[in-house]
Formats: sequence, C-alpha cells, structure tokens
Amino acid sequence: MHGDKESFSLIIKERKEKIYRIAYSYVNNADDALEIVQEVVYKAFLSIKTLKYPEYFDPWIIRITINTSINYLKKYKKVLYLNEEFDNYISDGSSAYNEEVIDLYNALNKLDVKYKTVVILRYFEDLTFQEISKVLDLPVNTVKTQLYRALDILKVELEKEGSRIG
Amino acid sequence: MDKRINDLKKMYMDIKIPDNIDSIIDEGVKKGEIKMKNKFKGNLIKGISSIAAVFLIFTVSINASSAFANSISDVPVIGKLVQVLQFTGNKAQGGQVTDGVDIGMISLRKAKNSEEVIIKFNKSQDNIAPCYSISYEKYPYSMIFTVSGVRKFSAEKDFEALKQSNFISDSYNIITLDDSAVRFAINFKKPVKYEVKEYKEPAQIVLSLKECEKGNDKAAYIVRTASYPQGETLGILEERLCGFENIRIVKDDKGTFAVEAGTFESEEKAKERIKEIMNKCGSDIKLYIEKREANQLPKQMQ
Repeated sequence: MHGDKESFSLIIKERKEKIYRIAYSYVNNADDALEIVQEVVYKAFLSIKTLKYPEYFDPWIIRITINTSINYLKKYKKVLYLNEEFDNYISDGSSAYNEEVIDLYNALNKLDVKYKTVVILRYFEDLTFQEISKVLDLPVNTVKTQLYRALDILKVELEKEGSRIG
Repeated sequence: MDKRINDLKKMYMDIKIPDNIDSIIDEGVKKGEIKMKNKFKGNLIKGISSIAAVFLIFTVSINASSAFANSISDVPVIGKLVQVLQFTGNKAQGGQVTDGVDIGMISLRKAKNSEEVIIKFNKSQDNIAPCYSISYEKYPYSMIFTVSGVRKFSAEKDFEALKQSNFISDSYNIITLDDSAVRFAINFKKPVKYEVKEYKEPAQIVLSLKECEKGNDKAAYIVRTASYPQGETLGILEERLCGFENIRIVKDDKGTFAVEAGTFESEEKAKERIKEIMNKCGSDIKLYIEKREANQLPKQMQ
C-alpha cells in the first residue's frame, strides 16, 4: 500500500470510474472532471503515507475526490446545469431518459453540495449510511438527516416542475 | 421517486469514462512523484543551509564583537541566579552565613557601554555566596563591599586588572578588625548606574556598571580624622566611632587612609557632629572638617 508508484496507479485505475463519476456529478463536464481526477491522484500520491489502514482506502479516496471537487467548484465558481455537453451526452447516449429524469437531474444539480454529496454516495455509489459517515466524517444520524432533507427538497422541486409542465 | 432515482442512477452509471483517463492518472502520479522529490530535496537544502547559517552567525559574531566572545567564554561559568540585589538607600545585603570562604577571583568584563565586575567565591558551602553587604558612597564615588565568613582574599592581586576599566579608578582593601571579614572598596571615576546580581553554583556576585548622567552632587563638608597608613590604628579608630552613623574608612590622595564620620551639607552641621563625638568619645580623637566635591578624594593630612 505504501509501496511504489506502479501499485499505487494500479489501485487508482481500479477505481478510476468511481472517481471520475463523482467528480463529473459536481462539475457536469468532462474536461473539469478529468482535471479533478488528476488533482485527486496527485494529492493521494503525496499523502498516501498518512493512510494508516489500507482497508480505508476507498472512503479515503472518495473523501479526497469530494473535497477536491467542492474546492474546484469554489475556485472556478462553475456550477453547470444542463449545457451543450449534456445535450450531446443525451443525444449520443441512449435516448432512454425521459423528461422526468432530466427534471430530477436538474433538481439534483440545484441542491446544496452537502445534500448532493449524500445523494451521490447513497444512491449512485450505493454506500451504506455507516460508510458515508466514515467518508464525510459525520455522525450517522447527521448523514441520515441530510439525505432525507435532500429528498424532501428534490420532491418539492419536482412538484414545481411537474405543475409547471402540467 | 425511487424509480426516478434509479433512472438517475442509471444515467450516472452511463457517464462516459474518457479514453484518456489512464494517461491523466499517470500524469497525476508523475506530478506527485516530482513534488515529493523536490520536497525531499528542498528539506535537505533547507536543513543544510540552516546549519550553515548558524555556524556563519556564530563565527561572524564571535569575531565581530568582543562582547559576544566574552559572553560565550563565560557562559559555562555563570551559575544560577539567586537574586538581583535591591538597594535601599545606598545599601544592600545578601548571601548566606558561612565560614572559611576565599574570595577567589575578581575579574572585569567589558562591553560597549557597560562593564561587569565579577567576584567569585571559592570554598563556600553549597556553592552559595557568603554574607555580604554593599554600599554605594559619594565623596568619592565608590562602592564598599564587606564580606563576612571569609578567611582568605586570594583576589587581592586582581585589583590590578580592574584598572583596565573605564569606570573604575581604584580598588583597595580596607582594614577590618574582624578577622572573619574582608572589606574592599572600588572607586569610580564618575557617578555610575549599578546593578548587583548574586549567583550560586558557582558562588558569585556580579556588579554591572553603566554610565550615569552627571549627578548634581554639590560640594559637602566631611568630618574626618588625620591620615594613617593601613593598619590597626585605623581599625581601632573606626571601632571607637562605630556608635555614629556613616562611619567609613577612605583612601586619600596619597595612599594613606582616613576615618570619616559623616558627610554634611553645611559646615555647621559638621561642627555639630564633631561636638557630639567629643562628648561621647572624649577629645583625644582629632577631627577635621574637609570640604570636598563628590568625586574628590580626601587630601592627605598628617
């Protein structure tokens, strides 16, 4: 674990999708997400020695990814909603996404980052509350509260959207 | 809602991973590697240069400033501070009762604007300074040290060294009839600011001298005896007068000594003192009144 750079990049590459997707969900754009990935790798490489237990690598790397993404957003104040790239992404992906999902996607992007983070970790990365609490260094109950609060906000947002369309 | 979130998750999982992500990762690792090497190199350079800087400062300052060199050379000698003497009026005491002490060494340390006289005691119990009292006098400006429990005064030879001082004009032993005490005076060329610190382990008294603005001390009238060579006569005279205040033995301008019995602003007051003494001790002690400036030595009177 504390070894050479080859084994380090191997471990990172095993988790590259995860890191990239989390980063992407914050910035919604491939270039920025890649930049974040590189930053995460760089930071992790420098501080891998401070990681005492190898079994905590996953929560550790996720935490670095989240923090780096949030810092990146703060730094460039780029919060991107549906943009061209997303349109491309929809069009060249399967066209299976209906409007409702896109509404939800929009609503999610409007969420405060701390709510967004728990939603990503809970529903997209399928982490348990315990795992999320480890990643975010928050008590389990706080994580639960934040998730339910996030869902409430999403529901309200969707109803607004729905009524507007309807 | 759950269904929609599941759809959203699908969307999330469908996020395309760019093909070049591996090279991006490799680049990140490389950056980290370079940074780490630089960090190590940087630390190494920092470490070496700080050590070098310390040596440089040390060498430069030890050569540039004699005060620094002196202070370094005396660092191991300076013991633990016992007290900074508080002078009440012009007197102060310190030390502990002991016996058989030798005043081993008196040395002078010069700095730019100040000087230190270090009085070192040998053979003292627990390495603590013996009982001493110090008084700062005028007419002439001087400091008188009386050290009790002392049987030997090896440092008498060191008086010669004090002549190097910019402040000290003379220093000399004063007779005392008490054979367990030693008394000596240090005369100053001009008024000084002084501070006395007592140390233990090893036992020392350090007298710091600094320039003082000219005091506006006026000429005064001093009651004194004739001059005598250093010897018991002086001691006996002093003893006979010891009921009175401010009795002291002072070296005159020719190297003999006189006993003085007080310093007064006016001739009348001095005369009164003489009368008092006559009444009490008899008229066989011949006393004179001498008018002197604050920095003037007594004149020899045969």
